[in-house]
Amino acid sequence: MLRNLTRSNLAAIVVNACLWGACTGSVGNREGVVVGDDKGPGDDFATDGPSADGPCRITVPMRRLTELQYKNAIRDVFAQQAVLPADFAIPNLGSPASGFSNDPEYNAVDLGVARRLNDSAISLPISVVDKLSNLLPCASTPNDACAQTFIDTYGRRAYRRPLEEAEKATLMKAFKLGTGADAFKDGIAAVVATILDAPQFLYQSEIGKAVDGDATVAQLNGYEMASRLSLLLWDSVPDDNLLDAAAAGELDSPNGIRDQVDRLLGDAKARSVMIRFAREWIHLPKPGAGQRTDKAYTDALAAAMQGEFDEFVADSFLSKNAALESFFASTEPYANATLDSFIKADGGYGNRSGLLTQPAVLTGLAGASDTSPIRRAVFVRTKVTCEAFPPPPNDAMAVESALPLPPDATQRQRSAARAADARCAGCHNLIDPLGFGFESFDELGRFREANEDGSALDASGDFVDPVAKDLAGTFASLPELGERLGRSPAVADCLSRQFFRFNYGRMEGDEDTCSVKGIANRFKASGLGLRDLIVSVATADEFRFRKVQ
Amino acid sequence: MHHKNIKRRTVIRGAAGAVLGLPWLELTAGHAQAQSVPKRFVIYFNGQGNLVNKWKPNVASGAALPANLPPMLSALNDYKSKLNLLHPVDNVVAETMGGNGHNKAGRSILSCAGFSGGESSPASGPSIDQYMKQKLNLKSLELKVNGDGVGEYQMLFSGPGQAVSGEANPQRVFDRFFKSLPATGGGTPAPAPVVTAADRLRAKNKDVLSLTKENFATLRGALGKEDQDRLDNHAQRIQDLEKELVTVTAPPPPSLGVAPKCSAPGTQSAQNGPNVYKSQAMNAAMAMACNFAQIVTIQDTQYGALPWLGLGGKAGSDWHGAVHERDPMPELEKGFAWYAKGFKEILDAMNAVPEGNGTMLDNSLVMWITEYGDGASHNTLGIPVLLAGGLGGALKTDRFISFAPGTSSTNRLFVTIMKLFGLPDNTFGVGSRNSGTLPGIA
Repeated sequence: MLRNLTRSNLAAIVVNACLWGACTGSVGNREGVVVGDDKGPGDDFATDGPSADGPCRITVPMRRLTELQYKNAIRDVFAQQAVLPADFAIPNLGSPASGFSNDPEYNAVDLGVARRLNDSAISLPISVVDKLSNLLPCASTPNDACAQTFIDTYGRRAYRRPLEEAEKATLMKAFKLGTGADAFKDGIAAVVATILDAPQFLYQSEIGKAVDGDATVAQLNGYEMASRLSLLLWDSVPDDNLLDAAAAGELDSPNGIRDQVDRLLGDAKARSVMIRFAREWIHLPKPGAGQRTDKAYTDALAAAMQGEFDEFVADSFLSKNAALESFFASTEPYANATLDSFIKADGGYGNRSGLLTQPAVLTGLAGASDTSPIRRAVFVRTKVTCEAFPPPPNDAMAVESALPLPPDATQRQRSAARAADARCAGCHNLIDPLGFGFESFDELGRFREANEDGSALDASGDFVDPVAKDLAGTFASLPELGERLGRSPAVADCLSRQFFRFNYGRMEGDEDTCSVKGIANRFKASGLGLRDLIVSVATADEFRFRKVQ
Repeated sequence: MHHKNIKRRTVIRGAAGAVLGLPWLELTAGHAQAQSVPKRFVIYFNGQGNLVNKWKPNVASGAALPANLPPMLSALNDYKSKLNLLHPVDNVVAETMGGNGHNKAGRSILSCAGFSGGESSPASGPSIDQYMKQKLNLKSLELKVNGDGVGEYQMLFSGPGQAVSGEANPQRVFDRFFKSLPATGGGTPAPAPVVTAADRLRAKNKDVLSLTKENFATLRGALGKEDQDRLDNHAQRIQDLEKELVTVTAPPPPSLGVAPKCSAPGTQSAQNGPNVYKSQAMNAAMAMACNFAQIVTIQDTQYGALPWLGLGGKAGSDWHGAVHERDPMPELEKGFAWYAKGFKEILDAMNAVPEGNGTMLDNSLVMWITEYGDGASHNTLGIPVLLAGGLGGALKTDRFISFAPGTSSTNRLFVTIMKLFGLPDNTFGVGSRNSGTLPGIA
């Protein structure tokens, strides 16, 4: 027992030291994370060509289609004729470090993943050959030439480029596996199975073409560019229009890319992608997945919350090209009837504006049965303003559960106890006051003016010592914080950084700073329209290149 | 007692002349000729810990277990003679990892290793099941119960940074192994069905995989080194799949001359809740009886609620939150006591398979380990561990074994287990207590 006590006291001292270094003061780990705006908007990294600092070039590994991209690709390659089982899923391998599901490491292939992909490859083709007359007009004359037509047409869509001769030969061998009375259909089924198992389909792999005078980089060819654009903007394979543009050389020029980016963003498939970005950025649970103690959280309400969020996000990023400021301050209604009556039952819309006051966000950043000022504040600090926060120390929960607190302590009482304990205060003095600005919304995002125990609720908050000084200070309500965030260059920088992560599915490293800055600079130069932000990502000069390994 | 007849062979000469640990038992069953059964290792894991004070028996270390097991284990009273209870077992590595309380516990619990990269990255070393599988050249089966889980609970790794997934759907496990086998109970095999286009395509899977390897080779040439490595890793999994196809389409004869018959377990409809335990337990036991696998992991990934129990208060909808706050305690007791019932399905399924003079359970080691010693504070020290089965007599049972504070570790537990399986390793994983065995077990 004595030994245990000694050890934990030692641990506390070490933790204490770490915390002070990590969270207090305006320097330390939290700084150097925000992009900064040292050069002013548009000074460098123009869309086209290198800047005075030299071209920005980044590393992009081969990456497997995500589960969603796989599903969408099956839908689009086979013109919506193929049928994936409703419960199709690729086994889960932990969590993506970047927070985004297209993280290449998260989409690694273990035996279970390979088995599931092969199960799909060997069962799905039946639904394709059942609809073969819709997909392959020449199937009425079932011969090798018609099989070759199938391979050329659907192989090109699945591999996102014309097939090499060796690849055609492999698929023709698959066709020849069909024998007997149904030889043609069975052969086509084997072709589809072989396509679905092929790394040419499953991976975004890029080789590119040599760049004069620089052996360390390659410029993507038109087809590789088409894949990058469609997987970024549609989470799916290119359509024939995009492949044809690649074939015509239109994707070798920034203007040609720009035209296609505009076309792709006008398609409904782009809406789903922006919604995925926002859900994964905030780390919202899958709709309806999170159980809540409050029975008011029905499936219908959960769906209504998600619907409001989705439509608001998609409109903001696409059809409206909404300004960053309005993303955090808009009062335009998106609630359906279910959500509308839920909101009106507790104070109505007068206390709400922008993203942060949406019930989906407030619920997603709360616990299953209580609010979480900590999660809500950490979201703002790490995901909206891109400050780096150290993880909680190992004994954080043990320390907190030993704090002197009455049963059913309010969030403010818990916070006061943390503030009074030096082991907690270093970080929590930066977290808790910001989180209290969210407390006028309960764990389902209902507006309230009293705490659970009936005492008057103090809805004010304080953004203590942010790295970006324009964000500092107290605020009276959550909408006021939203307005401040929407006007801050640090938030524009941070959102640009999030889009870098979203695009490449990984955290940025030192070599990526130029790309992140370029995205931010073009975003600002355009007037901070959210559609312009995604355009800035897709038309980045460095997006046309890759570093040679 | 059946284990009097068991002679344990510890090492053989491998084909290459190396000394290999051998996970096989030779059973000499009276008049029957000598038969070999593999030693099996089963790991069951649940999240959120347990209520240690209601799990730990009030007896001295080394003493027999009380006739009535403590409340959290009362579902296992019938198995008292086949159990070892160990406490405290410390996951010391997790204490050095920092970050999310589930990520660090999940990554380290079976690997005794830290993160390979950032805070949600895979472990930097293999988990004990995968390590033993590789060292002993065994086959493994990775199962999940109650969903595919949350990312924090990723705990199986084949090597540094290499996560291993599990199958949550019992029907898929069934289809993979048992579709073509006669049903348990000696029933007639399913009548030969009409051969459909789907059947004809599935029959070509081997050829499709062979062509797939051609596709891998075509793509590989122009890639850079790192991308080639990534592709080669996937190609290796394709080869594993090919081997699996051979195994499953041509099941080995039943491992024993006596029962069990290698046969298909019962229906597999349950996806969640208590019934999925029974389905996965039967899949596991029969996969081991058929020698499709000798190492099995069964991971419960439930996090939010245990809806089939109808618990009250916060525990009814927010199990994780209720564990954190130890509230309401009577409902937590019901919840944690239920895990013993789930675990009992595994013991029941294995105990129903006769082997030699005993059962498959007697010849196996089944470890029940959990995420925490104290769920409320997500403390990874002081974890309660249960070992069931006697490895054919190699391991004494019906004991409570405790360890001096600050001396035990999951590393030492796994070294102890490896020695029981004939492996020479003296260390496993990293950390300050990564070498040596736990006293009083073997």
